[in-house]
Amino acid sequence: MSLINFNELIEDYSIITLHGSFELYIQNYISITELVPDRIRIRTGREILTIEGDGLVVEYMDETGIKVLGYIHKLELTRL
Amino acid sequence: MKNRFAYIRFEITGNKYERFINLCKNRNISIYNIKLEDNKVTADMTAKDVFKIKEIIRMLRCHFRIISKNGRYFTLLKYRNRAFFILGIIILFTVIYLYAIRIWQINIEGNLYYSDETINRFLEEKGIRKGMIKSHISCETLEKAIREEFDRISFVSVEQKNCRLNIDISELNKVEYLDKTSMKDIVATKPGIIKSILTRTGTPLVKAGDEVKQGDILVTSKVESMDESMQLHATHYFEADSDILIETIQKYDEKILRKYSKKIYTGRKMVKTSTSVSSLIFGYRLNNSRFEHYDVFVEKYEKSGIINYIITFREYVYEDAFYTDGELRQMLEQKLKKYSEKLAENSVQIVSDSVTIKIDENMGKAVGDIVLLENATAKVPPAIVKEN
Repeated sequence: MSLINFNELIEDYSIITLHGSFELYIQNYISITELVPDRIRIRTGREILTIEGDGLVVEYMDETGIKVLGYIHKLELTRL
Repeated sequence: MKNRFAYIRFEITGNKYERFINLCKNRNISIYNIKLEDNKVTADMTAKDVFKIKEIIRMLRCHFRIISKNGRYFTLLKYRNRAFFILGIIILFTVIYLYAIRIWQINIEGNLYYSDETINRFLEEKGIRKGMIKSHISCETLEKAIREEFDRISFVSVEQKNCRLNIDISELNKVEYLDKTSMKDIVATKPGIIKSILTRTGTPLVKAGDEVKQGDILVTSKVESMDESMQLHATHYFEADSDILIETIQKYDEKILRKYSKKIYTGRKMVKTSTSVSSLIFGYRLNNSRFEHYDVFVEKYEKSGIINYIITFREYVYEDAFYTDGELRQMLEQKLKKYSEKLAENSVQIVSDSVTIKIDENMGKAVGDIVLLENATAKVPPAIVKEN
């Protein structure tokens, strides 16, 4: 078992914050890979986060993070 | 969105919008409210970032369209030809504000002795004038200053209402100001019960229903004026003036003797004449030594400018006579009636009387109590009252 480099953790890993089932805030993401009304796919450092729901809207998107609003039914994290 | 000053709403059509968003993110261009509808993406972007996406659009060859321009910047830009209109509105509100914080009218009410000009002059000396800022006026300080300056003002109230300064004044009622030597109290001259009291000047010491004795002070000449905090402000002296009705009990006692000397004419008489011409009178004498007791009757007539007098002397004698019971009773009743009429002439009301007439062999008597309602008062200087 290799030692975990916490500095690498800070650089590569994203922070996903979910408020209820209506707000999702993702820090440290790479890009949006898919954007449809009921599904958004976001690539984070080592995973792809799939958000499924109704009326999904990206409230804002800048270099620090992305915030998604809407009725979120499902969150799926797929490791690359 | 943090910056609401100037932002645009745009749409991207085509199927490369994910790449557009990612390229914006890589170039530090922030996009907000991204929505996907009918194969096109609408989003918001700050106005200054629009110039940065030109290269991205050219690279992706997607269709970029600005839907609307929002924010205060674009609103101001829209009305840039209306600058003076907006400036006018700003000036209007500024002027309204500057007017609203000042006093523009000073109302003085309740003053009779002190004229408006006198009080306004005093206010000017104190720095109170039209156009001054409301917050610079202290109502309490002004009230105190007015009371100290004008000694005939017993009560003053200063109030700021909208842009008006209202000054309400109460002055002392009596116009004449007397010094201590001229003041007079009202005292009771008879004992009784106060039925009504209406005081115009002075301080009443009794009220309706009180029992008073002769000499009691009913209304004093001293008047004390209080300020709003009920502290003694000043003491003034007046001639007391009041309408007081006192219910008193008057003893009535009248007697008539049955025996009296009756005048009887003997029938003997003597007639003399007298003449007067101009202011000269001849032979006019009213004494007659011939009769012991006589009455004189004089008749006057004028003829051709000459006044003539006929003087008749009639002799009488006294004889003892006796009144009958009926005559005594009648005379006593008449006397009582005359007494009542005399009281009425002097504005004295008779409430009730319990006078009874008694007749015996020597005399007739009318005795009893009469309840009167009268103004049994007198004005006296206070020194005399204190001695009593």
